[in-house]
Amino acid sequence: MLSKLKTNAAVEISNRVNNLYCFRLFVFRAVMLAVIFTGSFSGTTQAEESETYSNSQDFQLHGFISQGIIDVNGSDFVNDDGEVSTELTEIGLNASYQLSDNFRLAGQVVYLDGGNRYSQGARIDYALVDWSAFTNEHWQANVYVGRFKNNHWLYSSSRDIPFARPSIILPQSVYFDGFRDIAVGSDGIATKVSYSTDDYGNFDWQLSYGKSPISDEQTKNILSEFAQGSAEQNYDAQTSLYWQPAFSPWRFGISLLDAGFSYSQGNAESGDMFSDSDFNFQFYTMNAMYEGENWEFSGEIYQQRFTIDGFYYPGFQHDSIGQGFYLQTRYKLTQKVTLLARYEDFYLNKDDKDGKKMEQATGGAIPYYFGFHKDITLGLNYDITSNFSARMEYHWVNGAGRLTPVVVPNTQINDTEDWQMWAIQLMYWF
Amino acid sequence: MRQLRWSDDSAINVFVLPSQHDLHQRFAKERLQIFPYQLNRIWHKLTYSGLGVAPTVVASEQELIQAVTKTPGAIGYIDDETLKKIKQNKSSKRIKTPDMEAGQQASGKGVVNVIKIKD
Repeated sequence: MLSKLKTNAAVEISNRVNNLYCFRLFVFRAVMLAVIFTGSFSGTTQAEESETYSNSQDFQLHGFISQGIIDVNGSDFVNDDGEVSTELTEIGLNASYQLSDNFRLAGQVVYLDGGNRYSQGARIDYALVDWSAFTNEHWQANVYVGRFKNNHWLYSSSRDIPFARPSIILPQSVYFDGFRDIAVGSDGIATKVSYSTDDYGNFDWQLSYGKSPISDEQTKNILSEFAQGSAEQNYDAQTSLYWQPAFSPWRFGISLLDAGFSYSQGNAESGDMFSDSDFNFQFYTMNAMYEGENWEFSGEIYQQRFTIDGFYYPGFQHDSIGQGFYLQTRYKLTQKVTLLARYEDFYLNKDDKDGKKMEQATGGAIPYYFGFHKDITLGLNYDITSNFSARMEYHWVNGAGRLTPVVVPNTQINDTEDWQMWAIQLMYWF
Repeated sequence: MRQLRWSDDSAINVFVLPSQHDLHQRFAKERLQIFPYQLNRIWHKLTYSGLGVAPTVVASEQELIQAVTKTPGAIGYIDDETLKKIKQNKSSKRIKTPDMEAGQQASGKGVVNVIKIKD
């Protein structure tokens, strides 16, 4: 029995309690009971009773629905006219079905309306086969095949789950909504290997390879509203490693990304002004997170390299390195109220942090403030119940470096260096 | 320790109370040495990213003990006061409450084991 208890007591819940011996070591007042049912039950009385809960974890259905209002003044982040907008809708539904001891099917459909932030409509976030390849007391290895969700950055797995991410609008220099559908997952294969001990803590290593389809609307969002051709992602390779020292409130992570894209010029009738092109994007991050009872601190620091070969004209070359970071703190004022403060600082070219060289090089066509993005955010989250929350936040943004379209920006609407936004969102999940 | 299976390789089915339930808060903090909001984050990540399966949330302790007794390979937690009430209200042959410390009880097929967690 002890071995059974040992294998169970912590159940993904806790990586800190080694076994029930530890339970007895902890000093506490309340006496609680662990109720365990082992083996399959038999007998007519049980069989006659409702089996509502049997196999309850073989098939699971979960979802969320959220609606908010958002007002942006001074940029086209959400809409072009600057009016208060209800384009802040996120609805998701997911299912998980355990095929056998080692295989599971899972999928999630999401409907989004975020104005200019990403294309409106439904999409499949993930649809995968999860193979539990190996598991023992310390090790756990899974292989995911199909459309999987990226899990490499601090908030990449929760970026599209309204109540699970830290704010309504995430730090755009990492979690750029313009890249959302490309960055949120890929079609391909991913692995996750976890190792947990009481001596060294928890290690999670992930590796993924795949690619994401890019719609014509996304092509226009990312490249230029005048792009008539089609873009595609050729590959997306990512890896990440997370470490939580034993019994520590800290967690540390690193991630690497390498992705290749290409652009095919539209046909002759389309009058496409852009040429065939290759793009390469590399992104490296380091992150740290502290989770205390009331205080929480997190931050990511990152560097990206973006190259263009072609696009503006055949043979055009561009190679720039961008850098940034954000620091975030959350404080639990009460059990239901959490406050948030965050500072984010990002520039697209480390050799041109104020964007002046870019403005000169483009003859003033692209103003300097498109070279950076800084955001001060204050927010408040109120947990009304265990699965219903309200959230509000205010952003003071300096710079237009994280607005769509990315490659050929809209300088007419985005004619000011400073812009602000506020948003309120109600979120329900099950 | 992030085990998903018992030592006989069968899946562990975990039942928990809602995150704002007082007993859940106490169990997480005092027993598991983890803050309830951290558990929520781990479980949300599993549930909404396709990475895995999170514990099933039930509304009350009564519902939890029903769920555990009806589900093979299940585990959950209730307050000992609740157990006393249940035992008073109806005879529950299937629930054995050994007066032993955790870990010393031999298990049997189709048996509910109640383990008192004390200091």
